[in-house]
Amino acid sequence: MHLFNITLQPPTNVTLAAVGSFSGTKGQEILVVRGGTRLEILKLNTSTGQHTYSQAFGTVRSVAGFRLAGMTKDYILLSSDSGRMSIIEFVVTPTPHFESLYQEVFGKSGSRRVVPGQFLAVDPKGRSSVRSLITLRSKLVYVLNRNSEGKLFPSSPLEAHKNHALITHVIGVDQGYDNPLYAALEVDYSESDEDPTGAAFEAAEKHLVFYELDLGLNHVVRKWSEPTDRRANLLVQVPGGQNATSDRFEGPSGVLVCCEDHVIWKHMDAEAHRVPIPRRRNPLAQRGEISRGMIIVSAVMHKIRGAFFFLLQNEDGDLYKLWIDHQGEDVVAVKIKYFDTVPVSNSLCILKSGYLFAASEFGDQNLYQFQNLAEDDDEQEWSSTDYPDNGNTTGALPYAFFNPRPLQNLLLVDTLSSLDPILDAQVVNLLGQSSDTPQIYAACGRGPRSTFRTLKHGLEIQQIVASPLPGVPNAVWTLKLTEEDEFDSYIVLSFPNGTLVLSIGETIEEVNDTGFLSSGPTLAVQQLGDAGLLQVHPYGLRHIRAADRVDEWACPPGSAITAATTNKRQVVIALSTAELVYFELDPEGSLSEYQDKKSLPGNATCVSIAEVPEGRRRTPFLAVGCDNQTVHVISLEPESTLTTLSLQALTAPPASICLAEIFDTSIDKNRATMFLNIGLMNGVLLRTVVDPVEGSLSDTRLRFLGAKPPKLVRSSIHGSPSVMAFSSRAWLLYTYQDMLQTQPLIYDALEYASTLSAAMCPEGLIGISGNTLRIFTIPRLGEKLKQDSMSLTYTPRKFISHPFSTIFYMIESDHRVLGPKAIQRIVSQKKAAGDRVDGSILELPPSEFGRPRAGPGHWASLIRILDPLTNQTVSTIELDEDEAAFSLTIAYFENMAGEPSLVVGTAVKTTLTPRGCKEGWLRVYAIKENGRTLEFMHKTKLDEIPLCVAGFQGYLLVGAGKSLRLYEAGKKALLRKCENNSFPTVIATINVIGARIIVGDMQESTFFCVYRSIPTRQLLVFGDDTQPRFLTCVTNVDYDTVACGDKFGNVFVNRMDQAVSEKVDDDPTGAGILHEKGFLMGAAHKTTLIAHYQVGSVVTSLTKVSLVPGGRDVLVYTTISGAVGALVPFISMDDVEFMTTLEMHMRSQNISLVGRDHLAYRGYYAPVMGVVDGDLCDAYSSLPYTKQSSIANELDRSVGDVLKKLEQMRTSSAF
Amino acid sequence: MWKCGSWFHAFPFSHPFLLSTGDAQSNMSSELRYTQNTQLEQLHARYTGTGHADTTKYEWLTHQHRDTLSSIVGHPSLLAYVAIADGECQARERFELIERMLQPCGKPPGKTDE
Repeated sequence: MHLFNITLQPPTNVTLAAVGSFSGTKGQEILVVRGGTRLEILKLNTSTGQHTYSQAFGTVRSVAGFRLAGMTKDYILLSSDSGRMSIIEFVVTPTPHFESLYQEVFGKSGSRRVVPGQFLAVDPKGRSSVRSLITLRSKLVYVLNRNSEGKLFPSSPLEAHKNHALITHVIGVDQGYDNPLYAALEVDYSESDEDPTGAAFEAAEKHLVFYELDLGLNHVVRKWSEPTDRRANLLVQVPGGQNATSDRFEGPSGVLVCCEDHVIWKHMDAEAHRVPIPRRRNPLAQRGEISRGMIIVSAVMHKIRGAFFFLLQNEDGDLYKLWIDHQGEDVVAVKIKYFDTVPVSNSLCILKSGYLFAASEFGDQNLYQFQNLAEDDDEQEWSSTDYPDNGNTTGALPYAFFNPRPLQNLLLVDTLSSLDPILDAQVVNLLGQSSDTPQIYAACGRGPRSTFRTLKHGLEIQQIVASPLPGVPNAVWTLKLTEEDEFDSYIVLSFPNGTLVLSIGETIEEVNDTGFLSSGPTLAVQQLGDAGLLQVHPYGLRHIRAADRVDEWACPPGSAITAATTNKRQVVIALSTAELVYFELDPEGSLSEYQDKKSLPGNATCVSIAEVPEGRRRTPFLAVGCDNQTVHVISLEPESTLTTLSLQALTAPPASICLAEIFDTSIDKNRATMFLNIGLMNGVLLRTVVDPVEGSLSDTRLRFLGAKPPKLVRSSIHGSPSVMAFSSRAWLLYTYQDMLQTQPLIYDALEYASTLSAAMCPEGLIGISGNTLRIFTIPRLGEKLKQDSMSLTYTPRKFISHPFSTIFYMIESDHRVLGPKAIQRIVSQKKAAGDRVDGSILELPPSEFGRPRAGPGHWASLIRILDPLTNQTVSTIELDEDEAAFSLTIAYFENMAGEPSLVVGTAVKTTLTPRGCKEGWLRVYAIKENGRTLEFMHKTKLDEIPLCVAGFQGYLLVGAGKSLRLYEAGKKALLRKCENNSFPTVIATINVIGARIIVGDMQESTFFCVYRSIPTRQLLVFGDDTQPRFLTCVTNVDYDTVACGDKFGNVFVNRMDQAVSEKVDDDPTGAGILHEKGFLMGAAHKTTLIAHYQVGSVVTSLTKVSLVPGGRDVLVYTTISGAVGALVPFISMDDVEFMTTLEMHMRSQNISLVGRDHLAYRGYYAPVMGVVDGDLCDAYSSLPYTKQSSIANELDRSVGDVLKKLEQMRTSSAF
Repeated sequence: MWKCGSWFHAFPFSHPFLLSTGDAQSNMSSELRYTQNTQLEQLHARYTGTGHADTTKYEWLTHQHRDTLSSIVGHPSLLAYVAIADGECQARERFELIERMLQPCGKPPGKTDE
């Protein structure tokens, strides 16, 4: 088996972010690392929200922006699992892209303990030095220099190792222009490793250590070390050093040490200052309960007009403003106050233009604008001077409390929609007849910010107007009155028996005095020359030159016009006598006919000319489609007017044709390319490139658009030329990021549409659908998948669909959270005991403020019935206190008379370390009213957590711990019928295919089982895997083959030998299986691995489905980073050979920005097998032309052929 | 086998060195004592966790756990996975995992007379 991996939706979650002026222009950009592997530059404030991205093919561990003195732009410093430190430049011209400047090897590849690179700290003056290091042991210091050509290069590293130390965090200390200084939080573990009493472990201290890089002597010294809070987790840089011009100190320098519940300012040989981290009052805290300390999860420092402040964020998402009163280098007081609450983020970035970008750890990323800096509000402040000894006493400071409130200092201005984490997904077409492709339904997010999202392939449409019309028109156009007009004035609608002209003003109303012929249909309209209008109707042309002057041209008697095409200066019409007539605007502004008619070999069904190119008098080519299945390209140049230049035979009669000049860098990097688009009667769109000199056709691409013959219209989208195609779906061909894209619109089926430019919507489109007129816009280009979302209560875990209704059942559960029943119980208990309960925190919306935290073992959970088509919840069933749902399935029981039942596996007071629960339950619900209601039947107690359940031949299979059990439904409970408890770790998945059961173990891969009832009920294992696999999801590819995803981001396919499979199925008693000798300490038969691939993130779901109408089945996977991808099976060995060779050549190009070896990355845990990386192959189109052609030569193809093959691989099976 | 995974997964074994069976109670400082061969010595100094003939079960297991914990911290998607299972935020999870590296397998066994 050979598979081709394509990414449908790149990862969305932001793991790291840095702000800087990467493009070297005045504004600032944000560099985000998505899913650990994808670099993206986000730019604010431009209407298009421009961004650039690049795949790193490696896991980025740490990122920083830096600037050397005297440079005008920031560079990107990355450390990754390639074992290299990369210096990357963001280059804007000609097209924005990243360029890897230098890759300095510092260790082995992989995210290992012994390889530095987890932390990266840059000297704040950027001037020269950088260091990178890890959670353990070693630190390397690099000095960055420039060589004589001004190129950056790092010096060989200086080592500052300390054996047996765990490092929690490292930063650069701002010392002005003194020697660079770095601060680290270190714990020495050598003593606690050797002390069996445990006293050394208890007494282990965390040290704040300062390392100095002596630039003169070029070595690193451990300058200062002092024990600090054992629970310190984060360091924050404090500005320091003297201003070069005014001798004024920028700040006191030193660091902020963020610990549990405290923030300490520290510096060498200075008095420390300590303030508490204010916390919310927990109204549910019981008397005597010790609540856990609060840590700071992310921090950002911002300098503004010579002053500076910090924003710190805690685990609940509360932001604090912290600032330092200082006199010169001496700190007077450290003060902290509550600022606002935003979602918990991985990184906070403040832009100089007054924005805060919060890269939230899960879910959508938000951009906020600062309204004020909380300078004179009435929030309480806590100062270090309020406490004895500036807070530097032993023991904790008294608790400081604040009340969270809605945003006051920040204003939400934009949201980047983000799918991560996708916890479960289904790819299925629930829309029935109205859609020919499946949709992706995904359970996303975490906690109260969770969502259920529907992803549809296509561009989102924003409808502005939909108004009914008197009849069903077959075409619509818009017209300007003169060439200089900014907006369109007329809308022309052509009906089978008439033409309607509407004028656009304050309102849209019908006008009659336009000079247009209204008694018959119209074939084309055009604003001609400076101020003329043209109407083409079946029997002639009307050129309206002024209100009182109309030039008319009538068809020769006995003929009619079958097709017409126009631009600003030229008109071509095709007559029913298989002749072409050509008109051009003469210097006087009147249309003059070319002396000869051109006769064609067949009747023309469609004709097209492109727009007049800038600065030219005419477009050189005319394309004609004839009913004898040919397309002709005909010259319009004066010296060769109406001579045929080239001809192409087609597989079906052309229905529509369109010439358009669209920019595509993969074909021509400098100029727009002329594309000839041909819509065939069988629904296929052909796209070929027209040679600008000879008019010959090359590079034909095919795409099936839909069941109806496509109608093609040239239009303009966001100011650039595009082509629209109307088949059973509407499609748009346009340029996005300099590449030609073909995407469907998610909208009702349109018959026709034109560009509309009016005051109310300058970049709109006007279309007709049935007898309604639609005005709409396409707000966001480039977005492949349209999302509709619905918010959920808790973290979604799994969902399944009703067997035949469009209803989903979803289980949601949150750990360390109290459910509503528990909250009610605690509140009433506290009230009964006479305690005061402040309920205001409980009433805050949890989606913004979270829920009160509870200890481990507390769960809140519910079962949700939802309607995925309307995106609405039908109802929810809240589970009992601390009971959490882990699995669900639809089962058919004998005593339910063929009606499906829903079985939910739950557990009470589950803890993860050590794994266990108080009791497990199997809840059985009867499904009523077409799935819209659930009726509780009974529940059955278990001693383990039921992590998976599955219906099987009128029974229920349950995976509880190591045992697989078979249950039958009784009247009041489920009855255990048989059990197999020979599974090694924990059963994580159960898949049923026919009479076969495929059990996935949590660590030991899949087991093939069968159920035999004669002579006794038995569940027998007959096959297993040879490799340990930490499974997360399993799906059947066919009867003998399974595709699995694991916790480390691997997707692999295992196959059972067919002979074994048949032998097992032919054994009615299972005696053969039972008495077979085990092999390699396992089952008698082993599966063989036939494909293996690492996708780079934890795989959460796998579905086998066909993504395009008439396409083959592909494996769609989703990951925890919010990525969606597909593995497409190859059809022929030729393709396999071609793609594998291309991949091999692409690997040798070393395009990874971080310098990770591609083969090593894709084979991180086990070697890649039988899978070609489509992402790498797709990068072919962005290579320089010389490299492209040399690779194409090696493959014995042309560059165009390679690109065409790549596109075909993608479009034939996915989007 | 130890169970400290989340989402009920135990952590992976990434260490190539195989546990020598037998006495788990040997001298704890054996790793430091093992210095006859300078090349090997250098290897041990450079790559923490490299095994040798006298590696005890406790040492081996501790190295395993530390390797695993740092691998989770170093892979963003694994960290997110653990954080979701545990109901904590990623920064807290990262911090607790690094803290756990100090003594991941409990107290070391006492010395025995050799």
